[in-house]
Formats: sequence, structure tokens, C-alpha cells
Amino acid sequence: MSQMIIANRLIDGLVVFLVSGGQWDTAIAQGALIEEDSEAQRLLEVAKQDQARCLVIDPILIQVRVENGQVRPTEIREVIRAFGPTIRTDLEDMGPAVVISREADRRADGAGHLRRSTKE
Amino acid sequence: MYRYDGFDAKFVAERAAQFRRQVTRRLAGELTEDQFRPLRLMNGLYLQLHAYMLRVNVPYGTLSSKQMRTFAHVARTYDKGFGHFTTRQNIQYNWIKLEQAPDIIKELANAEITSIQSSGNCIRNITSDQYAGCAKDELSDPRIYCELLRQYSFLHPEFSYLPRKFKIAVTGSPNDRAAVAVHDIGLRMHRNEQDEIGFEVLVGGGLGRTPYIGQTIRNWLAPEDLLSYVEAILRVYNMQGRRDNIHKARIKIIVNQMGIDKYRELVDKEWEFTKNGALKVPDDEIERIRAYFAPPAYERLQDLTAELAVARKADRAFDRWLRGNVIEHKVPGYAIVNVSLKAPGRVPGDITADKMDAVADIADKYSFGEIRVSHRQNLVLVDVKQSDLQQLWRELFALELATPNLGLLSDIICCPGLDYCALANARAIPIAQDISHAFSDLDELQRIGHFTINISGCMNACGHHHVGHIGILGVDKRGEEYFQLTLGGSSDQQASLGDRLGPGLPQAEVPGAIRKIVDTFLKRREHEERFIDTYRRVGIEPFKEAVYGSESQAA
Repeated sequence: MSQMIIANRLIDGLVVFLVSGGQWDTAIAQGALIEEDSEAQRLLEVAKQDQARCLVIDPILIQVRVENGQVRPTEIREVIRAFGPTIRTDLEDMGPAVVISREADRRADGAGHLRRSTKE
Repeated sequence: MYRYDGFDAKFVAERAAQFRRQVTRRLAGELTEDQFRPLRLMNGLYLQLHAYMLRVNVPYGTLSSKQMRTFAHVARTYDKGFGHFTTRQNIQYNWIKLEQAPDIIKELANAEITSIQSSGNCIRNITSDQYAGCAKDELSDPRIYCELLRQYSFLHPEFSYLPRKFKIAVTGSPNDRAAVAVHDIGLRMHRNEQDEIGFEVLVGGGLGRTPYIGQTIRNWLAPEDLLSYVEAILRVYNMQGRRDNIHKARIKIIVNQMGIDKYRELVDKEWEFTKNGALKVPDDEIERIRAYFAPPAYERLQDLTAELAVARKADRAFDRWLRGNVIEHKVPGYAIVNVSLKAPGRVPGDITADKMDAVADIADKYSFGEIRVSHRQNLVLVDVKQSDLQQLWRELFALELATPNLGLLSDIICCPGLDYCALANARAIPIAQDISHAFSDLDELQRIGHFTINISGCMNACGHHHVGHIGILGVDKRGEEYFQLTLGGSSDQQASLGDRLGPGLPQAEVPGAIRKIVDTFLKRREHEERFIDTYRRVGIEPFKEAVYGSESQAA
């Protein structure tokens, strides 16, 4: 099982992932996959420094797995944080009222997971 | 409606400017999150799963069309084009950026709206009957007393750091639409033999982890004593309430631990010192506030029973809506119109900015520019001429706001759940969508009759699951979402907490379980019984057997 560091960005609260260059990105696909515990702890310290610098809030390590080339958290809470609410737009008889996805917030490579309609 | 005076306007504007400085300092790195969190929460700004969430007060659920347009503007300019009306008659925005929050708060202040005290361990938005001032069964308008309490409790220094949050609800009608029995203080208006108005005071009600129905601490309280008595209750709570354990900090815990008689004794002792002091409310103060809630300029009209009967006969959909969503008004020729935010498959309580604007326009055209929010997450136009009903219905229908399901099974209360909320264990919205989609046949809904389903994504119970005829509670079971069902809850004048039906079910099985419960009800129902009546008569066993099979009896 791989790990990744997730946080909320201070300025707008959006979910961000620590990328290998030490930056933060809203797309989980850009997040650094961490294989070793020691590396995880080292990067968590880096993330906490970014918290102290008022860039992000509450950075934590999460478990992720790679499925069909796409990174996915193992816990439902983090899946929802990564890909947005799971509102059933397919059930809305009159068509979607609003775009409740993170589409506008991220790059296209995360878009494959935006509208999940089934339980995890 | 209440309008800000010079003091209110100045204070709220200053507070908005103060918050701007706090945000600036946070963004500049001068405040840590630990330092900033209490400051943002005092202004109703939470950090949720995906973004900041701003909770904005709608005092006792009353809004002007101008304020609704401000809500629309905020949704469109600063959020993703929609807002969510909550079970506390407030509105929440889910996608707020910290850097823009001061602008939003300033714009809200300009429209006489605040988010102050929508969070924190203080006295929260005072809630009430959404039909206040207009209901035929009302003894007197509860908004006057809500506003009195609002002014009293707004930034009250003694009660800004209570052991835990504090919720007060007021009903002026014997038919309780404000769920007063599940509030920290519930005020239930009565009329005595001298034809005077007074309050029965309930205390210690609440939902959450440890639900309780409120108990009567005082049978009769004169309006002039309202503030001093409420203060005595608060003062005893402030001294006795537990600050060592957040799960035991609400007043309900202390009331139920020491017993209502002991709590009453302490309150009475405290009250002796203050009863005849500065908090005595003079009649002219009550009348001053009452003037803000003076009835609009109603025309002298007759009820249009015969005319409406013709229109109803000619149009079945109009008839269905009129029977379902329109309530009798105390003034002849007028009606109260409920605007359903529960179209099949929709997110309960959500409304887009465009629809907010449309509702504001409709309120101006048909209902003296006023809108109400109900704790069941619908909107209400309280002063509609009966002669306008058909045209109004056409306009609401075009906006998908005329689903005739008020009080029916698909009129579901639902918290944001794990789709948005940082506290949630499970999703609530997709369950509500599944159920309302499965029960979208209007004939069937009407056949089933009055039925409440309340859904919470965690035991904090923002979705009031304990008091739904069917309550659904999302739980986390080893990383999977499961849903526990309770039956027999009610939040009206015969409030009761639901009984747990059995082990939690996976999401996919919930609509089927609801279907089995409904089928069992229809088989057992006598005459035109409501579900809750049948449940109280036959008990939980037939429903348990229907959902879990006969082997569950032994388990």
C-alpha cells in the first residue's frame, strides 16, 4: 500500500496533495506516491513546515492504491476529499442543477472519477 | 420584519471590518490556525472536507426578498451557484474561499444579515414556526419573543463561552412545527383563563449522541419574565454544565443527571435575584418589537372556496399541489404556500442562485416580499392571495419548486453528510436521493400519507434522525458506510425518540428496507392512520420482521 500527503490549502480550503517537488497540487494524480515509512515521515515534516508557513492546514498521511493507472485513497472519506461530493446527478429528474464537482478546480487527468454514482 | 436600527447596523459593519483584519493577519502568517480557528468560527466560517463553509443566520426563519437576492448573489459570486438551507432555518455555503470571506460578510451585513453566533458555544439562531404570524392555529406571533431573545442573546458576554452550544425554539401554536421539545430550551405558548399569553418552558431536550425529549421546567411564564427566567436557566447551566467532556457538555446531560426537579430548584433560586430586576420586559418594549412584525396590508377578501374548487376540478396537478402544499391562513382570502425543495432525486434543502432570485421575485409579486425557511428545509410564502394561487403554482411548477410532497415520505430532512461535512461518518445525501427517487409516484405518496424520514450522516444528528418517523443514521463500520434505522420518532407536540430497528444496512439495501416498512404499514394500517399512529399501536416487531426476516426475532 502506498501513502500520500493530503491537506487543505489555507487560502481557499481546497484539498491539495504534496507533489514530489515539495509543491501542492489539487489533483491527486500529481501527488507524490510514498512507498517507505521513513520517507512518509520525512515528507510529513516538510508538509508541517508548510502548515507553519500558512500554506496548508492539517496535512496528514493517507493510504492510497493505484488501480488501472489511477491513484485512489482507500478510505471513503479521503476518496470524497480527492474527487468531490458523490451527489447523484443521474437521479435528478430535471438535469443537474449545479456543477458540484471539482472539475473547475483541477486538471483534466483527475476528471475520470468526478461523478461516481455507486457506493465505494 | 425586524429592521436593523443604527446600533445594529454600525455594530455589524464594524464586526465585518474586524473579521477582514483577522483574515488578513491569518493570510499574512501572523496567526496560526489554532489562533485563527475560534475567530473564524465566531463568524460562522468552518473548514469542511473540500473548502470553507459559511453558515449564515436566518433569524427564526424569516427573510426578505432583498435578503434572498443577497443569498443568491453570494452563491453566484463566491460559491458554486447554490446554497443549502439547514434544519436550523439557516443557509450554508459549501465552497467558500477564505480570502473572499470578508467580502461576503460585508455584503451580508449590508443586507442586515450576519453569520455571528452561527457557530461556537453560544446561543445560536433562535428558531420558530415557519408559519409564524399567519397560521390559523396560532395563539400569538412567536417572532416577537424570538426577536426579544435574539437581541438579548446577541454577543451576550456572559453567555459567549457556555459549556457547549445552546439552541432555543419558540412555538406560538399548539401544533408544534418548530420541534421545541428537542431544543435546549423550548418555549410553547399557551393562553390562560384570563386570556393572557404565557409560555410553558421546556428544558434539556436535544438530539446528538445522547438524545432527550425536553422536560417542562415551568408550566407558565409571563412574557415580561421571559428574559430573566431564560437567563436563570442559562446561568445555572453555565455554572453546572460540564466543560471536561464535550460529549457531556450540553444542558440536557446536566438536567437529566440531576433531575428536572433539582434543576428547577436551582433555577428558581437564581431567578429570585433577577426576577424583578432590569430584565423585566415592559409591555411597551414588547409592543415596540411587535410593531416590526405588524401584519402586511391585507385586503378585505373572502375565501374563494367555490372558485378554487372549479379550478381544482379542471386541473388535477393544481388540485394535488393545493391539497398538499397550501395551508390555511388566518386571514380570509389568503393562503400559506410551501415551496418544496424536495423534488425527486434532488438534494434536500439545496437551491440554486437563479431559483433564489426567482423565489424573491415571486415573493415580491405574491407575498409582500417575505420568505420563510422551515426547519424541514423547505421555503414558505406566507401571505398569498387565494386568487393568485393558480398563477403562483404555474410559476413554481416551471421552477421545479412545486412538488406536492409537503409532509409526505419524499419530504426528507437530510444533513450534508460525508459528501461535505468533516464530522460525518457516512453520506446522507445519496440515501435521500435514492429514497425520493424510489418514492416519486405522487399517488403512492398520497396513499402513504404523512410520513417523515430524517437522515443524519453521523450521531451529531444535524438531520434530526431520532425524531423522524423513520430515522436513518450513517455509521462507519470498519471503513464501510452502514445505515441504522430507527422507527417511531416525532418532533411535534407529541415528541418521541425513535426505536432502533436492528443492525445497520449497507446503502444499497436502504431503499428496499424503507419499501418493506411502508408495505408493512399499509397492511397494518387502520382507517386513515398516519404511519406514526400505526407504529405506536402495533410496535416495532412487524417492521423488524419485514426488514430482517423472522430469524431476527431470536437475535
